[in-house]
Amino acid sequence: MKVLAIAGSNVRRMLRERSNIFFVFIFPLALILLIGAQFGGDVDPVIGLYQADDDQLATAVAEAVDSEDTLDVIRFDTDQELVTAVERGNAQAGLFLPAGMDQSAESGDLIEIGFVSRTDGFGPQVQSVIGAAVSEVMTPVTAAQFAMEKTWASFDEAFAVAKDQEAAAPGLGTEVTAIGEALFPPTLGRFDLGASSQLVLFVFLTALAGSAALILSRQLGISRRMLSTPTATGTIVIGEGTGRWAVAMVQGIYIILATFLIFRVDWGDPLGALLILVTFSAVGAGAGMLMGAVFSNDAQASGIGVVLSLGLAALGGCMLPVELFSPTMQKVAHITPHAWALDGFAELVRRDGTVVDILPELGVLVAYATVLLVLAAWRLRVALTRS
Amino acid sequence: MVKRFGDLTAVGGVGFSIEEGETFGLLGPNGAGKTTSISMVAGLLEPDAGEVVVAGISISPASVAGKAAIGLVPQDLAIYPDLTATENLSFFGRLYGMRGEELAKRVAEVLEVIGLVDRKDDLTKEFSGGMKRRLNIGIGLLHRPKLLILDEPTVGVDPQSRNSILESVESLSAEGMAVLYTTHYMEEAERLCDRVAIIDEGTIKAEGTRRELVSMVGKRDRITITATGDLSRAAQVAGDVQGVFEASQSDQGLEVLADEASSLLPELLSRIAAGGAVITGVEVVEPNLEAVFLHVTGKALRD
Amino acid sequence: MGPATRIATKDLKLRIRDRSAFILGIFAPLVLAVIFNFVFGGALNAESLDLRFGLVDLDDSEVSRGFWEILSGAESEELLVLTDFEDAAGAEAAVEEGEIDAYYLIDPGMHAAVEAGEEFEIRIVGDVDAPTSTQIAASIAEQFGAGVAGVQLSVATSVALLEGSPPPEIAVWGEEAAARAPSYVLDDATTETRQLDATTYFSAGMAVFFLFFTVQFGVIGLLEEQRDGTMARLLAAPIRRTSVIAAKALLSSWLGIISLSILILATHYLLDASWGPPLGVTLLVMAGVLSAVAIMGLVGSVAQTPEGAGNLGAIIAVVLGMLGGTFFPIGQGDDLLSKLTYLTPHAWFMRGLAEISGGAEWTAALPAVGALLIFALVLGSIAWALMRRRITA
Repeated sequence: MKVLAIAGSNVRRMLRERSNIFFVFIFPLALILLIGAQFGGDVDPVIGLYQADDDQLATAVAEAVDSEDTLDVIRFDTDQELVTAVERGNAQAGLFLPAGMDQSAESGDLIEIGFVSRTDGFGPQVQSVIGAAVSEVMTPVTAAQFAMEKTWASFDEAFAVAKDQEAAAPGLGTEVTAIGEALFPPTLGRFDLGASSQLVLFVFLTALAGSAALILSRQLGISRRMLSTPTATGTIVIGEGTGRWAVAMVQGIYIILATFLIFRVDWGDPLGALLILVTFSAVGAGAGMLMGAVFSNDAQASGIGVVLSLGLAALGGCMLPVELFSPTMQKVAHITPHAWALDGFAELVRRDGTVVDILPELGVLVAYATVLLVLAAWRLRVALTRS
Repeated sequence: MVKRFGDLTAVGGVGFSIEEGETFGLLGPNGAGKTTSISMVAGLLEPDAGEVVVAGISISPASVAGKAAIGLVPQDLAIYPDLTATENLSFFGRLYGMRGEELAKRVAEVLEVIGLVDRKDDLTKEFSGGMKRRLNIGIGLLHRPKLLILDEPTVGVDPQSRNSILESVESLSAEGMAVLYTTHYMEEAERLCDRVAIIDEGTIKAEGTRRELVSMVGKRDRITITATGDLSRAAQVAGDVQGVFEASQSDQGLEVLADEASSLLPELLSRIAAGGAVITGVEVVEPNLEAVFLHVTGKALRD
Repeated sequence: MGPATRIATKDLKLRIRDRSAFILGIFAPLVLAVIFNFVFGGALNAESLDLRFGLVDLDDSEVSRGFWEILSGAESEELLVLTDFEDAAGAEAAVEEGEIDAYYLIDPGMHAAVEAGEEFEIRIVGDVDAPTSTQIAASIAEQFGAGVAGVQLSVATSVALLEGSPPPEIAVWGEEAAARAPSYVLDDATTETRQLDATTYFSAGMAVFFLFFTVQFGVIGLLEEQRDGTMARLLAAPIRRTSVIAAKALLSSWLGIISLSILILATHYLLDASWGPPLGVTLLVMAGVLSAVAIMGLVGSVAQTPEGAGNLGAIIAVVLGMLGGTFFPIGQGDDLLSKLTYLTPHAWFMRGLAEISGGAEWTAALPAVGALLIFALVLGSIAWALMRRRITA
């Protein structure tokens, strides 16, 4: 069929383009690998510790922090080295135990324990873990100081008694549960999260970048030549649209297969994943074809296509999960087809959903695709017949 | 055919007929309306008036089936740089409805005809300009059209490739294909075309065989001499030179008709000068299509 | 004006008219910086997270009211929004509707347990899709719980030391202990560290990433002129070959400086990005642009065609950008990546900016500037030598 011939030539040209070997095949995988390595759950945050002297209290605090098994603690010889380590990103946070803690405790002077954290990392979480460890060691100090006022005991006496009495002062614990399934079930691998976001990002990016091929075809006079053959304009339009879709599918299927084989990424129900890919690729195809019909300069179209793809990907939650957005931004995110595709994958992977569960998301994607493809087909027809 | 774009009349009544096996030339400068006319004949543009019929089939953008009778060789090459010669031919062949073994066989034949068999698996972006043009022609031939349309096929091509293109067209014509050939190179029109139409500003100014056209400007060379002095004496002297058919006085000087201007020019000029006239300019116009064009439009063919 | 400058000026005018330079040099990084700032800035900055909590207080005691006071104190500082609920069912419904992120459930018996020194838990029920908010809710409760432990311990210690029957004042010891300042404080000095805040990080990251695309125009232009034949015309004129190459390098540098300057000003005024002391920023920009021109010049000198140069350049720009930490921070721990990142000029540019952030002197940028200049000098010399051999008519 002529439609297949046109679509096939699109795919063949895409595979011939040498830079595509990097951008379509190598780069997505490298990015998934990098993200998995940096942000995968296996790595404990690195905390730096600086102890100004060997005071008992300081040592006790240091040991309490050290024994936290969710942290990876490194000792530093100077406070400056620790600050630099945090600034460079070699440590997520730093704790500074001042000199003379024992003396200050006894005399009731306020002990200032320093803390710094990375602004782009796990600041709040790390702070609460460290805070709890420090608090456990320092609470008896506070209690001893209080007791010194109320009785005429010395600090050492009071402190010793305070430590004995710890069992009588449990304070309040916390129990945290979540409604619904857990956000990140324990079986979720470190690459699973990155993979679906990158899939959505790259399928759309490749579809849009491919608009350059359509523009080139028009510029070189090939579209005009196609019209001089006994091929209806409608057939050419459908052919080019199918070609855009096929190119997006190549990107998508490659990422799914490669991540499945190399990183053992779980994509959930295979039919569901395929349907999301098919409909999302159609959305990308519509957008790519529309750009290919409207723009005349392939360099401009590429540039704008890259910006549009990255922007929509960011807004849609491909770079940071939508769950972490503010409520307003979450609504904004769902203007993009990306967010709907990611919701679909989340349903399949995190909640073990099937096709039935993702029908709403598929419906939205089909709607997007229809609107874009109809618009694109109309514009392309106009562009072709005007030549 | 008539075609208007807004206020501009690009083609204002161009009509001709081409016989089977005839090569018909459309000769005119850039902007004359050649490409617009071609587009209408190829069914890419809808004429505002008039019609195109090829082998009894009406051709227009709406009539898709009729386009099988036409092969287009456009000016801008229109081949995919990232595909090989074979892939380009196969792709367009499919758009003509050919497939499978029939397609493969025909592709091989065409590659032979255009002389690209040993480069068939190379990407066309590596081809020289001449090779690309040959492939361009090949694509036009794939489906054995009744009418082959070539739009300025030798622009920007080295002499060797140009020659081979002209030879290909000649042999196609010899095989009985009807060819519509547009160009602004007079030599090509003279060499290839059985009949030529001179087109300028959207209309055909003259049409006919080479002989018929050339006879409009006369069979002989025309020498125009700008001179002052005793012109009637000069005319007499000129008329006596061997090979001069006629010499007459004009406002600016002399008008001389001769058979071989180049050979007798030195003697002619020295005789006139010796006769007392002062020559300030000489122009020789040979009877060829360029002369016809000049005669018919008042402009030079090449700007 | 020397011939190089003359040629560069002509090219600059051409490029400014060319919309692709505008798109890659200014439009793209600016739009993306704005989008990223919107998207990430809000999420990474805990203070600007919309915290909405619920409270189901079934104990209704002094202790539970103490907790409520802490929460409502935070509310009046606009750190969170608190809603009271009659019962757990109501609160759970609110979570499912998305009206609140998490709620506290205080069962009856908290006061009694605290008085008796027995264990008791505050329950936090969170929305599965709001993990960070839930976590913050939990840590507020944990801190309160630790405070309660402190009061208990203070009273218990004093009672134990008195060894006899507790005096009548013990009734108010709880309040006194609660009112007393703790023995220590955790002093968060993060803002004084030399790190880029999220907005500046994204603005700088996008700017330096797209810089490498902007400076390509000069090099590709050089190769295009050679392919199209205008190079022969230039070389036939009384201009030295080196002037022609210098002109393209100059063009790339100007384009880079112009685009970075516009981006810095735009992000500063639109997004409140804080780039740091102007002198330091200027030096970093100059050195950064020179290193970018050198690298892209090297790419161009080894590429076969203008298209090849464009493709290879794009690949190098993306790889360096990724490794250099312009998309996401690199450098957790001691692994290979955190060493590799310093092979990229991008990382040095970002580091230079970090060094002069937080009120530091402009001189703190000098090491990074030096590193960038070394890139420029070494790679630029190689590029120059290769280009000279390559540029013939």
